[in-house]
Amino acid sequence: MATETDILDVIERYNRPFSPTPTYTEVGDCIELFFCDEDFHADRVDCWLTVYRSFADNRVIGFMLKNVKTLLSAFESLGLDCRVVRQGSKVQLVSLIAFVPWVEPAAVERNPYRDLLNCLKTHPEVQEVDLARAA
Amino acid sequence: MMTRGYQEFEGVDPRSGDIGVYRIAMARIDNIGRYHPGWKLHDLFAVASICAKPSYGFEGLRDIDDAFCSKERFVDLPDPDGICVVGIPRVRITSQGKRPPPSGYTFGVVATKRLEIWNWFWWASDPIENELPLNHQQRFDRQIWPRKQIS
Repeated sequence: MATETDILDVIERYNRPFSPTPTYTEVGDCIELFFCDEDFHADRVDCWLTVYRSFADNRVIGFMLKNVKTLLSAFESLGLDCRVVRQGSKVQLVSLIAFVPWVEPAAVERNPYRDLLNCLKTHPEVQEVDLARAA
Repeated sequence: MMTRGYQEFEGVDPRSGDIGVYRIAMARIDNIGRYHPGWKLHDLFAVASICAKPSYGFEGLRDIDDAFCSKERFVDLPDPDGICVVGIPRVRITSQGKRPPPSGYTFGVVATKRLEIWNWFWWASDPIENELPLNHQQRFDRQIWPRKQIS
């Protein structure tokens, strides 16, 4: 069983400079991305989106988009394609977020979607994620 | 006994009240260690604390809003047998040392039915019972721990 020392060992292994990198996780079928290295809490918006907000000022500093396979399937049935290359495993994050109101019309009224799209605009270095490189 | 490729935590299985073994895949820890804020890895201490002594436990991660179409549209259904244990740890261990837990928030650990943990968060607290997350009624199917139901 993990002891405090085991946990400290794990933490010390990852003492590194932070760099925003979107990742896909198979177990939760979700994409996660943090824009900065800040202490945060999770704010569930709906069954698709959870935004991560800074404890310091409550602004959006990251997000988790869940049920990604279902979203992609719903988009495809509507003729919406957010893949970088047709049939490829890389998807464009801005399109993925912006298309959600097509399957969840209420999302268009929800500010976190707008806030998140604004965050993504200011981070051109993190525009796509490869679903084939699941954690 | 340790399982290769996992970090294990002894805790309470909220389905039975017995001692169970929660596990986090080292691959998931690696993902969080590399790409999440450093605070999240320090919250492994809170994970260990809440698994050992959860204030509340829920079964059924209700990730489908009732307002959104039918379950048939889902490619992979959210885990209907998934487990979530919540509570407020006595202290929070961070890179700056021991601190009180953030006021107005409760800590949640999300796991599969095999008690494989895949995420953990600080959530805004319910205004009446601060160890419960806000809108817990909409997030989970059933409260299973403690046995006495929330009124």
